[in-house]
Amino acid sequence: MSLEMLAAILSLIGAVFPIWQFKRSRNDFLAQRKALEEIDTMRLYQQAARLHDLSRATWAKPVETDPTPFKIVDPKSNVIFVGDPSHLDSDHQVDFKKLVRLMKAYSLTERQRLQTTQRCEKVFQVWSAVLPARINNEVLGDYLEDIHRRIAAGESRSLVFLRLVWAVFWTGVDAVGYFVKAIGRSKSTN
Amino acid sequence: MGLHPQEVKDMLVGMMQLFIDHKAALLQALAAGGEGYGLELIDRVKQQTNGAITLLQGRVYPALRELEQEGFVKSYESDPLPERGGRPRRYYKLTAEGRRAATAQRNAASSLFQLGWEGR
Repeated sequence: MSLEMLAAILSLIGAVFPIWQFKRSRNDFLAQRKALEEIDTMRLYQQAARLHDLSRATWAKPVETDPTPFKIVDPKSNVIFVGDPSHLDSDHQVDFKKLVRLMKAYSLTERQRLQTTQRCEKVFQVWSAVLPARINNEVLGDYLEDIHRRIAAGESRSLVFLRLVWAVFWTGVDAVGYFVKAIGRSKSTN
Repeated sequence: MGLHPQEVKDMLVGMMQLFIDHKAALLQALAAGGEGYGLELIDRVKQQTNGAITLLQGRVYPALRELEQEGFVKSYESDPLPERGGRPRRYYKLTAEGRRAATAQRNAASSLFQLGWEGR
């Protein structure tokens, strides 16, 4: 295979991969948003239906002695949201099967978030090998913290991916400037 | 392809960010809210200006390093944090000279704005 052909194949992959990645993450994002909207419309205690609560919530089947059929536990605040059939009014009426299905769909996207976080951390780990220690600790650390926040806030993977590219670019520019200044300083002292 | 007026406005605001004096903004942020690290200072400026000024992350760190070399701020590292992949945060705080410079800057800016109001 000639070098030109290899270059053509690589540029084709380079062009198609970001589009494919963007489309995939957009589809994930839309599916997640739809699921959340559906959960929201179910009006299971307005607080529980909010994104922040659901992102921390886990669902569990109660033990037999427990009079309630299902409960959603928020491990951080220890709030228990209970659906009690004897007290179901129009505001608290919940299709639990549907809720469970939606929460399972949501937990899938949670797994994707974890994957995205791990991938970002790996990229930064590799990139940090060529950066000065100060830029690695201060700048790359801040970018990683920012990415963590964005992922936790439910930002789509394509935007997180863009942020990653942006971080690598700016830390690269910063590192070049840092080295140039360090060389200038050492020359002036000599 | 026509652009929405809001998109044009966003683009112009984005371009304006390039001309903001990052060193001056960081000095004011440190003077107003005490010590802080890069990301926190960016958020602080954004909050204080109700989102009108957003500092560029790529320009904040070189500006902070310059301020440190000029003796306006000093920095120290915190303990390593898991959300930063085990990296420490670098906190900056104003020196006495930095505080004087921030006050002088603020006085100069308020005199300028007063001049603008009196000229109306």
